[in-house]
Parts: sequence; structure tokens; C-alpha cells
Amino acid sequence: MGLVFVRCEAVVQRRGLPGRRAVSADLFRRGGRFILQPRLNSSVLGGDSWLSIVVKRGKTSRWCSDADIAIRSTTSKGKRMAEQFYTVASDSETTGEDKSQLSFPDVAIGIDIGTSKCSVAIWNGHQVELLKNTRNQKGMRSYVMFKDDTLSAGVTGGAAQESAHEERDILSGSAIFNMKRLIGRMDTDEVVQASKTLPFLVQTLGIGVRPFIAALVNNMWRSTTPEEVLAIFLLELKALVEMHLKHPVRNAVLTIPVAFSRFQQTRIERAFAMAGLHVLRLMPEPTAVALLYAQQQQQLMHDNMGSGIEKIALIFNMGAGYSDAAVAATAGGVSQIRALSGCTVGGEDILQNIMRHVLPNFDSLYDGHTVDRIKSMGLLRIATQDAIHKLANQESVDINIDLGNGQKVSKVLDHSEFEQVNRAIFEKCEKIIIQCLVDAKLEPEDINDVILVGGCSKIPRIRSLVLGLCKKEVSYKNIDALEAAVSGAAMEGAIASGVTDPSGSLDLLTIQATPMNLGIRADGNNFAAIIPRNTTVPARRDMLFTTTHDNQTEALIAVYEGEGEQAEDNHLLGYFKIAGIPPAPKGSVEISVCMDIDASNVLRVFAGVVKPQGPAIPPFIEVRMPTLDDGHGWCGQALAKMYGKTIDLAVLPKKLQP
Amino acid sequence: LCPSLPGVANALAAYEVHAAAAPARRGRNWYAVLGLPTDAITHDDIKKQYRRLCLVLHPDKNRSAAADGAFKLLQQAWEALSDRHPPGSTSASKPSRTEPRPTHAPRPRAPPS
Repeated sequence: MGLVFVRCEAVVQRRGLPGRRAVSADLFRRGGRFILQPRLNSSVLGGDSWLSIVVKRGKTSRWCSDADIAIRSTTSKGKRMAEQFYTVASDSETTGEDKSQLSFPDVAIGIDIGTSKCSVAIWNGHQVELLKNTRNQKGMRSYVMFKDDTLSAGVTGGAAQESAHEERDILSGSAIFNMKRLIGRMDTDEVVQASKTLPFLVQTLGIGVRPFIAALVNNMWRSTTPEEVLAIFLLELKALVEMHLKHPVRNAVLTIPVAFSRFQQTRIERAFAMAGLHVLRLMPEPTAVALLYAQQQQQLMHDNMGSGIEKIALIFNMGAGYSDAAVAATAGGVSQIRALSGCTVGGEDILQNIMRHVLPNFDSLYDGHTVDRIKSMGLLRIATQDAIHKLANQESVDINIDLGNGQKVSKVLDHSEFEQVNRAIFEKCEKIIIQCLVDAKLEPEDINDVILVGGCSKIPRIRSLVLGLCKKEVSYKNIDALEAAVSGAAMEGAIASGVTDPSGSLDLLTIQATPMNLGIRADGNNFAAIIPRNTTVPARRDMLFTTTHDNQTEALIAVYEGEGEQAEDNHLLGYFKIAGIPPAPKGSVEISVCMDIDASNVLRVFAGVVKPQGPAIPPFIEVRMPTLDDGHGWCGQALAKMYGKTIDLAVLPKKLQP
Repeated sequence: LCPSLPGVANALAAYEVHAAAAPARRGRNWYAVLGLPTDAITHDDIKKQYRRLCLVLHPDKNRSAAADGAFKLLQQAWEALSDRHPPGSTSASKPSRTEPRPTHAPRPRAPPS
């Protein structure tokens, strides 16, 4: 019952290459599904994609094709599993080589995993089609319910038939949701800290490791991870699409928030790999909306590709977990992303602010996570959520709720109070929009259209704030606030899969930009950006560095991503050492560090000594980033403790460069 | 090369960019990368040609192995030249005599994979 782990030797084969290798892996079963995961220290993690698996158990060894696993799960769980596809979850699931070697016959689907709701869309041959689940919903709640040994994801909403019941069940502590906010974050992260008031268990130690997450099953906390929850959810989503398309699905284009770090992206890719999906492209959410806008403008003006008048759109997206802004220049079906910015505030923060406002002793009350408290927390959450939704259309709203244990909340909430409580959130939204305009070197008057998307775009204050900053009266009308991102993703899926449409409705292109600075630590603890934010990708930039000590023979390249001026304010992506630098006075050696992002958004760092030259110089090093696994909060401190400043680098001033 | 081969025109365009970007004695000639004459051009000319080449060279639209590198060169050329010819500058005292290099793809579209 429950979780079944089988330790096994899996033989994996590298796609496109002969020869097999044995690795140790865990085959585990969750709710009738089998997931094969390599051991942490097995050699799979450095490899590419893997196709076939041999499971050796004890002395018997036999081929275990995908069909085999599927047949066995069919006997236990019915027909639903027959089309499951299993792959070994690997950190480096996608490589550029893979894509050029193999042509994928199927068209990638578009997936938008929201913090609260999720949707999926396909290109059906002539247009984008959003899929509905068995309950006729396009937007499906993003959660996974843990009950005894069965799991049910929000795709089918299997837990209860009525939505009121469903909501209460979700908040009973047995369901894990908000995984998009938790995935790939350390327990020192403030977003993780804020998640402690959720009904399920989020335990932190505050030392920079992954938080402990657990769901309540039969009065016991059962541990899980955001990746696992997401994978279980994706399996159901995939089954839904396959049921609709009647053929297996392998590729997906996924929309992600702008504020997602590259480390979080690898976690998302890992969850997809666990569910047997290959992430063809990761698109920042507003850029997917920009693509949809580009298509509409193209049809409106009957432009040929690459010609036509340029239109500038500002896209603001605010969902439950994240806010993003983007400026896109569109001409003739080409949408070029001029600037991107994002932050981690969303509807969830608004909700928590209001809950704290109506119940001042909120934090102390819900500290213990006892069943009683979880229940009253759920009641408060539902009531507050309801009130916020109502406030979008009316002047004030009554919150009247009996939380049990003698706790009662009775409050009238009006607009000015709502805005007062959430002032910090609105300020953050303002900040990212202003930054976007500054980065794109545009004045509000240059903007032709303002597009508001995401669940929170219905909040009047958000609308007036964005329109005010852009000096517009009304927002762009022809885009559905909840369906735009997933439609754009499905379109990008078709384009990136090489689909062409005779009517020309796919003669589109998005030219993406990097959302964050990428660089290395240099000049003490400073951050030297090599690829600045909003650089068009694919991109390749290099920069020269020099040694900081006489006769320094080693140099540490610590790669960071972010907006901070100090290296440690940013996300550490990985590090490596250049050894064998010829002894020379400080400042005389030239070390080139080159960063390269390809079309599928893979970051590679090349580094080596360029001056002096000669046979004694070590070869260049190429590293695919990020290289870090969990516990990355520790790494930076550990590096500083171990090496201090002995193997530091300094930026070589521009005027000395050739 | 047989022009009817799928994707061959786009592939050719990508290799042409690589050839034009080969470092010469006085550094790279970014005008050649864009296929533009060195004199008498405006910001708009550059922008138009840049956008046209984006469509031909972007790896989403061009399956050739050279596309990735060519697109990066195109970006460098665009950055260098749009700095040199800011919008509104009227360096075009006379209409340009040399036509822009015809890109081999008449109408950009993704080649079948």
C-alpha cells in the first residue's frame, strides 16, 4: 500500500547512440503509476535522454519495455494506464543535439500550469483548441489529493462531485497545491516562508535546503516533493490530452513566470520528464500572450511576414503566484520581446494579506497544523477568496464566518481598505511595469495596446494602475485573460514542431529575450553581468577577466543569475575552476568567459586562458548550467569559507581590451 | 545546390551570414552581415533588413545547423549598426545605389522537419 520502492538496476540507452549502460535506480509506485528515477549519485544525471529500461530484480533479469510496465499496472489499476509512457527522469533531459538528430512527428502541446489553475491546448490542424476535462472545465484546479493509496489530481477533480465540496477537500490538508510557488525554492526563501500558512505541511529549517512538504493522509503527514506532485498532476493532464488526440503525446511547450530562476526551470523539466513529457520550449507567460497578439494583428492587417507597421504592446500578467510584465514589438507576425520583468507577488499574497487583516491573530492561531485549525483555516480561506472575487464588482463586501472554537469573524471590507492592506503588492506591480518601460527605452505614449491577463487582472485597482502608468483609457479587448497564455504556448508548440499552415496563420515568430542578468562573481563579491537582461536569444557574449594575485594558478568561475549588484544577492547556478594558469604577475593573464544561450534556452559557459598563449595553456572548459542540485544555498557560503579570496577574478577594464 | 530541396534556401542564407562575418583585417564588416551597402543607409533600412533576416535565420524557422550561430551574428550586427545609425539620423544624402543582398528565401516559412 502507499509508496512502494523497488531498488533496481536499470539499463539505459542513450537516444541516437548504440551501447547500453547500467545505472541504479528506484522504481516506485504511486497510486498505480510507476515512476523510474535514477539514484542521486548514479551516472544518469550527466547524460541526455534515455529510451529503454531493463529492470533486474534479484537474480532474474528481463527486458521491461514501456508496454511491460503498462501491462502490469493495467492489471492493478484498470485500463486508464494503458498508454502511459515512462522515461528516466534526468536533469539534462533536453539538449540541442537531440533536437536536430530526431524529428518529432507529433506536434507539441501547450501547457499553462498556474499556481491555482491549469489549462492545456493543442493545435488541431487549423487553430488552437483548449481541452476540457470530464467536468467541462477549461481551467482545472492545480492540486493533487492524497488519499490512502489513491491519488487524484485536479485535472478530473475526482475528489468530489460538487465544487463547494471540492474546495473544502482541497483545504483539508490532504491536497498539495501551489506547487508552482514551492518548486525549486530553498527553505530560506520568503515565498516558502509565506507558504507555511497553507493547509498542508511546509516545514522549514532555514538553512538553504529544500523544504519538507507533506500531505495529511489518515491523520499522518506523508512527505512528498513539489516535483513529484507536479509529475502526478501532469500524468493526468497527459492522459486527458491523449484521450482526446487518440495518440501518445511526447512534447510540450510550457509557459513559466518571468521570475522563475534557471534552477526552478530544471526542476520543472524534471517533473515533466517524470511524467514522460519532453519540454520543447519554456516560454515566459507574457511572451506567449504576445505571440497571440501578433497573430491577431497579422490577421487584422493581412500583413506579409516581416513587413508592416510596428505595434508596441505592454502585457501585464498577474496570476495567483506571480506577476510579469513584458513589452513586445510586433510587425507582420513577428513579435520581438523588448523587455521582460517579473516578481513573485500574486493573488495568493493578496489573499493572505486579507486573511491577516480580518483575523489579526492569524499567524499564532494556525501555527500548530492540528486538524481543527486546518479546518477553520480552510473556512477562512474560502470566505476571504469569495469576498475578494465579489469586490471586483461591488463597492464593499461582508465577511461573516464562524471558524469554530468560539472564533468568529465579522467584517465589512471596502475598496479603500482592500487597497490599503495590499499597498505593498500594488507598488511591486508598478515597479516591474516601470522597469519594463525603462528597459525597453519607451515612453507611455509609444505603447499602442495594453494587454491585461491572468486571474488578478480583474481586480479594479490593478487595471487602473496598469492603464494609468501607460496613459491609456482602455485595455486591449480581443484577448481572453485566462486562456491567452496557453493558446500562445500551443501556437509556439506548433511553430517549433515545424508545422506550417496553408492559410498563413502560423507564419509567426517570437524572438525571445533573457529575463535576468547572467554573469559571474568578480572584483570581490561583485556581480559582473556577461549577458545582460533583455538580450535577444539565441545569444552569445564574452568578457575578459584577469587574476587578482601574483602567480595565481587557479580561478573560480561562480555563475550567477539575477538583478543584484552583489553576487550573493543573485541565484547561484553553478561553479567550476580553471586550473593550470601559467604563473604571472596579477592582472597580466587574460581569461575569457563566454556565455551561450541556444534556441531551446540552454545556457553553456565556456572559460579558459586566452593570454598568454601556447602549448602550456590548459584547454577551455565548457559547462552546461545550472550544475547545482538541491542545497544550493549552502554552496556559496561553503565556497567562500574554503577559498576566501585566493582564487578570485577581476574584470579586465574595457580600455585594455583589444 | 538544388533549390527545390526543402530548407536549402534558408540554410544557404545562414551560411552566407557566416561567410560575411569572417573577420577581416579591420574587424568584422557588420554591413556585409546584414547584406547592406556601407554608405547611405538609414535606421529604417537597417531595421527592415534586420527583421527580414530574423525570419530567415531564427532557429524556429531555419532547421540548418548554421542557423543558431548566424542568428547570433545578426544580433551583433544589429546592435553595432543601430548604434552607429540612431533613429532619425539622416545619413542618406543620396538614395542607395546598391540593392540589399537578396535573401534566398522569397517568403520565409518553416521548412518541413
